Amino acid sequence: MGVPELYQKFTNEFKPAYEMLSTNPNSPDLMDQCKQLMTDLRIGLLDLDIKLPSQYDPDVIDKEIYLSREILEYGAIMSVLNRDDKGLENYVAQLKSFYNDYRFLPDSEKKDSILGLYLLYLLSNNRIGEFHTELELIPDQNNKYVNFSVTMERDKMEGRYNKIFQAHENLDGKGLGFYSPLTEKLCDTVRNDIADSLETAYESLSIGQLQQLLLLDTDISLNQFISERGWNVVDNVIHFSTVNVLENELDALEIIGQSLQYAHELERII
Amino acid sequence: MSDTSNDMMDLEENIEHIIDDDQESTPVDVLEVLEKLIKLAQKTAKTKEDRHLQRSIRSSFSKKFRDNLSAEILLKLVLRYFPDDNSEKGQLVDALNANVDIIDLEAEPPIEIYQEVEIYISLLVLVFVIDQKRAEDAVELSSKLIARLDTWNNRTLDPLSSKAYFYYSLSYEIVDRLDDIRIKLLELLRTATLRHNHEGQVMLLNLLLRNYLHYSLYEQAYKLVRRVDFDKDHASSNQLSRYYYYYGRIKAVRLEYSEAYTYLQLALQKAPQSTAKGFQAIVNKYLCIVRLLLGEIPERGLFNNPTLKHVLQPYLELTKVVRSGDVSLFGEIVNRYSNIYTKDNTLNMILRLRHNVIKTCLKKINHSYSRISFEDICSKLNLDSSEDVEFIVAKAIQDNIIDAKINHDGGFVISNTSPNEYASSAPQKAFHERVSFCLQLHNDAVKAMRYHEVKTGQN
Repeated sequence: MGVPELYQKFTNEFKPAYEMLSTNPNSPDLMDQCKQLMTDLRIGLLDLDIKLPSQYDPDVIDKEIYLSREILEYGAIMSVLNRDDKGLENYVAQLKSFYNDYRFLPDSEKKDSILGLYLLYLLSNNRIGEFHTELELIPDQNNKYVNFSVTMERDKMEGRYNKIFQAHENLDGKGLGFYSPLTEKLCDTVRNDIADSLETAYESLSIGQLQQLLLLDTDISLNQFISERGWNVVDNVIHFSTVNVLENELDALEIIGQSLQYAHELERII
Repeated sequence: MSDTSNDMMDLEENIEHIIDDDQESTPVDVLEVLEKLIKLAQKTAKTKEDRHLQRSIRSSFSKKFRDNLSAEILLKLVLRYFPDDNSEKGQLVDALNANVDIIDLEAEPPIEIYQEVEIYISLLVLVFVIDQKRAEDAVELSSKLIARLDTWNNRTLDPLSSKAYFYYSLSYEIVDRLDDIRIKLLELLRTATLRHNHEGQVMLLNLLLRNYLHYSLYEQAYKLVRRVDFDKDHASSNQLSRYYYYYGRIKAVRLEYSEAYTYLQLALQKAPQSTAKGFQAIVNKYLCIVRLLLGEIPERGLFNNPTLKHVLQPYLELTKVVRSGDVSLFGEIVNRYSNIYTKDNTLNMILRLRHNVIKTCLKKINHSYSRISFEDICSKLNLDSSEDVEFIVAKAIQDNIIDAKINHDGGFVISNTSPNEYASSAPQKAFHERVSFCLQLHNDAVKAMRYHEVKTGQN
């Protein structure tokens, strides 16, 4: 497929389908249709001859670079909607090379949202180290997408889980509708965090209180959660096993090892 | 043998004499010293032992000595030592831009020139051009010098070549084109490793790390550090301290604060104590932040150091605010000094400190109250709603920041009484840390001892 045909397919077939999908996000037919079109577009991308940045004349920008960048951006958004982690990483890796290496291109409109998306993805998978290294690479953080992800990270670190759940509910209000699978994943991760802290902080909790704290709506999901965690339910109350064994015994092996080390070194001195 | 050592002593005295600020050093003195250095370089070339050259080049590249170089002196050297058919002679002469009338052309130029001497003089010219702030010329000169060095594979050139790499990177950094040379530096590192050029390896690794960190490419820097071994035995303490600083910075960004803290402290220890003020300042800044992120407060003594006081002022304010636990004041301070923080590349890490402010506040509350309700905590922390408070306290308990239990129905937090510290093994651990540090220090000192140069036949 040459550049003009690809462009036609992209504008006339994919874009309208995507528009319809954003208005009806839960329709499986539209989702399948978009997925199919995206696969075709990706195959079409392979035929394009994208050269290294140094081989391009900065003043004459070919249409193919713009086109491939846009297709990749939509691909990234599609993989978020499909909950396709590997696909997302692939797309973002390719897009990063477009953003960083092809410097003569003017910035894409979607750049900030894709970067914010990637940050949120790293956060929801608990890859905080990578989150911070990626954040260092973004010079200008004053846009709503990156701000959103940064606020989420801060709330998760501080423990203000309420805010995270609220943000998940209010996504459409901020125009971040397509973030919802990621925030859902983040809420799950956060629930695990909450459960961890519940185990250490409380001695016992009733089922009602637990439901309130974990913000799980249905009883079924609550029971599933409890069984996954392996908590004992007695009379609708859960007792957390407190690990309060004070280490009154001395670790003999360690002390022996240390003393031998001291003796060895001292012998060397004398 | 005694002849050389006598020469060396004289030479070092002469260099000291020139560096000494009180006396005016005439061009003749400088020229004399340079001639002696070149003779040493020739001796190195002949005997293939680099110890003749090693010590002297270190002192001849110091700042004060470089101040005494001038275009005329260097031109004399070039004319005296470079043969006419040498490819580099022409561009060196052009680069110097010297006043040719003053120089009286002396006897015939020599037939050939040793590699060491050529590189040494080229290096002096390069350093001179950089000092004159002619950045573009320096870039050209250094690239040509590196290309020339590539063609030779001579171990005695190692100390000179590592200095050449350094000035190559420096000249590109001044014109802000560091990313152009990244590939070249990687290539040079590969070659140096193959040829067992230890000094070059160490220097190039540091230059590459500097390159990556300049562009905030922490991921790639981390990968490089993991793959390449840093040869501690062959590195001078300056290089070692640079390496530890870069490594500490990478670790700090990756949230591994305790390791970062160790490495940054090592960097400070190995750094020269009387010079390199800028380096000390930046390492201290990072140390301060990493300590805050670890949850400890840096000591007052750190900020009272007279030379660093002014530079560390924003960080002192930051420490005060983290200690007080006031979140709104924290935001104010960050905004006020955000320009300085951005220049130091520390802004992102400082934003992470917001969490630490809350932690400190919680700790203080926990120590002072045995039982406190959520609403009270909420007002003390200046938070919006008390639902958040419950989660925050639960997370803090899980992170071992405070030792308490939450009573959900009553809506309050009860602190636990702290167990007897001496009954646990914590003192033993702390003691063991200190003892192993002292023993390590002792071993390092023993390894670093050297014998004096033995003077034989002195009657």
